[in-house]
Amino acid sequence: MLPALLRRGNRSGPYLVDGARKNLAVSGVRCALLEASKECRPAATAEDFGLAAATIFEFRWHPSCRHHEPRTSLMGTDRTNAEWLTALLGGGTDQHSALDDLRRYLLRALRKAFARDRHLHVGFVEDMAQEALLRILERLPQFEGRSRFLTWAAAIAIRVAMSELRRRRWRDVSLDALVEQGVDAREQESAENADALLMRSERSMIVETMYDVIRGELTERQRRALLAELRGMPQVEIARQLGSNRNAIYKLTHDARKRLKRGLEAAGYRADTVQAAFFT
Amino acid sequence: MALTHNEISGLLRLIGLTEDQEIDCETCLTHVAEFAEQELAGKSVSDGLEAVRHHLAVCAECCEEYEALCRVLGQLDAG
Repeated sequence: MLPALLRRGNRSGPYLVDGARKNLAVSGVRCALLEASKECRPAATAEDFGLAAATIFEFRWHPSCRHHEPRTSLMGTDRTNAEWLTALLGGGTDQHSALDDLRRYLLRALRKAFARDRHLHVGFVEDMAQEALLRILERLPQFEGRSRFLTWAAAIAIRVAMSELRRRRWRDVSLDALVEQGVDAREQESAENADALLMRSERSMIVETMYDVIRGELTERQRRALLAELRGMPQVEIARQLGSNRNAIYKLTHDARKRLKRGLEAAGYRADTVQAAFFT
Repeated sequence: MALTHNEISGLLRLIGLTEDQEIDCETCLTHVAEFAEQELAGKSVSDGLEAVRHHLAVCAECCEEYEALCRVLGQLDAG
């Protein structure tokens, strides 16, 4: 029987069922670690959820269960791109095996990526590997085979994990507060810096022109997104607070940059002029 | 809207890099694996991937993800 591996403890979340992403609420299910025999066995099976065993692909085990730690060997990840696609898009044990190998690879990749973040909860990487696995399967039709499959998969996993990390770190920061608060202090700092910055009149003119374009030609939404981004708020959080998505925020700030560029050029400040005034 | 010195410099740098046509973060993600492999192999990237290089220069988040990917690939390939 397929070891229907379910999320730790009482959790709900995404699972892959019959090739589709579904949210299941799961309670009281965990990997059983049998202390006496030092063997693991699944504490629940797919039938517990009224699903056919072969249709659930979820491979998480309780973190204290060392028997299911990812193997250090990369056996199973040396498939060709075509073999990966065939296995993942197929069914049965080949798909099961490929998913398991891919999940192990993603765990290794994410552990490497976040090796410096010692404060991360042990479950974070596991959660992100699982989330990434689902995202990869959703995007599988978009894989063009221009890189190794695992490189493509790792890029997606890193996007998933870093986006989540940024979301968590910034979720309690109000975009309004970031844009509006501390203006006095910032103005003070700005004024002090301005003494050095604006000593050259050309710099002063460029900055004034830039402010004019910001005030006169950018929309309020563009101003807020641009300022929040300049102050370090990640796009994913700007998007959340503005009710948008990362791509749309990128387009919003890109349009703002284009307007600023055109405004500066219209005033006679081409990129090379600005470069010479500020960065040489 | 008061900007600090660093914010003014950062914004002017971004304005200087701005192109009329830029790929977005999703398109970057689609191609960044190929870009990373070519860069790590020391190959000159194909013309079609120059847009990825440009996006990485203007998008701090995609750049952070790309650097993590290179780090991961380097370490996993090294065993």
